[in-house]
Amino acid sequence: MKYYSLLKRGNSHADYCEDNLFVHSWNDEFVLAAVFDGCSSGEDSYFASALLAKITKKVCLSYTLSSQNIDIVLQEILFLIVENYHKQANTLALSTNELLSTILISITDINTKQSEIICIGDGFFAVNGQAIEIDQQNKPNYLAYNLSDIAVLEKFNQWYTDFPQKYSFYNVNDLSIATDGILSFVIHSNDQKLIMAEEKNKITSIEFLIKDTKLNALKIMQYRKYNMIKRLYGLINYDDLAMIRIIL
Amino acid sequence: MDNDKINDPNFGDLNFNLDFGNFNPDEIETDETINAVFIVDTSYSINTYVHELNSAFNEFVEAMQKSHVADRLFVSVIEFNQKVRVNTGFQPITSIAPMDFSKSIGSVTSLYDAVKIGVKNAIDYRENLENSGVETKTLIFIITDGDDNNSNTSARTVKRILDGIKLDEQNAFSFTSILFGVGEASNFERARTEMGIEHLAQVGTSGSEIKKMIGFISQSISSVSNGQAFPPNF
Repeated sequence: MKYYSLLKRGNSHADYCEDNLFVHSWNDEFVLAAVFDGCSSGEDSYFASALLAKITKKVCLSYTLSSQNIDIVLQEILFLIVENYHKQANTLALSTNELLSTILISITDINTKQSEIICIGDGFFAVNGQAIEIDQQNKPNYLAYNLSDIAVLEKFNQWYTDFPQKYSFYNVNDLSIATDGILSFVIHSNDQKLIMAEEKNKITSIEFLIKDTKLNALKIMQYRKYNMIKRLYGLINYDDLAMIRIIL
Repeated sequence: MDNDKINDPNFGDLNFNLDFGNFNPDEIETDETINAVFIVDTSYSINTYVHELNSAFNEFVEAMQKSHVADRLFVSVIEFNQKVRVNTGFQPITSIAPMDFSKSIGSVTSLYDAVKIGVKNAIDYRENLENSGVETKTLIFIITDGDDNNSNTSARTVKRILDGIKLDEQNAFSFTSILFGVGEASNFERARTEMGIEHLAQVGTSGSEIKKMIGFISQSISSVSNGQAFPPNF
């Protein structure tokens, strides 16, 4: 199994990238990938995303696998993230407006090639090259809206059971998860041919990121592909982009 | 090497059968490199300071191999006297072996040929890297007394090439050339102006001056790697 990450500030954000990401593998058995998209109209939302990434890291480092069922593992880890996020929000006296970030987490069993994905808010993922966009018309249902309600285990379990944006996949060989910045490539070149081909090149660029395996011997593969998109298609991401690709 | 990569008539048939042996872009573990080209005069005139140059250059390589830019720094070394020789094409600094510039000291100076060849390889390699997703900053360091008396290439041709490079928006802030002039100022000042080299630094032939020059080069590389302006004061 190999994983590749990509984190790039969007052209529309002058100072900060409001997205973040984290990847963790347990003994090359299970791998967790998570991307977070801070809300631009929130307050210091780069911080919300970074805090979630750090909390996810802390949770993963201290988590002992209790089950071979990755849906259960995902549920347990997500609860620990929610519990810790709620605690940190209280400790730092953060308002809801300072906690607005989407969460997209996948857990993959490397041996059985099964993946479980949860998307809280909007996002994008691709399984074996098939892209799926979770679109909430730019009004994502952030975790922060329900945080204090679901920071207790019983309530969380009920919320998790009822939560609709959960997905299971089998025979996974190539999985990508990303914030919606992956859909925001725009032309930044004056080359008329590239401008004419913008829409086609946007689609090709996304496919390049989720399907193409050139340079897969390099950990930096997705960054290199990103630069190629910029150079060859004259495209650049308007919105911040966090992406993790796992090739089994 | 493919001469067709640059559709610039100025490059002409400038292969000279030189094999650069540049590092394979597909094996580079980074998305941004600093490519430094050393074009070193090994004509008879460098006899007085060649040992200082060897020692300072090799210390530079050793220091850069341990520096924070080591994984991003690629170096090419070209020597010239009556002939132009490629000591190494672009290779990671970590694999650059010690150099001995005293081995093949020659009688005359083919400065313009050497600069043209060094720049062409830098541009070809840069294009290869960029097409494979590696962003590149290029630094050309020319160490010479400037008294060209053997080139087939004219200084004006070199200037046209360098001017063309700078006109390309993509290169505007990521391609820099500097000439370190050793010896008679009127010679290297003329060479610098006629070739259109951006920066000039005058260097004495003492050990401390040569060390100072190499220290300046290290500092320039560090500055460029941090996204700062080039060059710091010499």
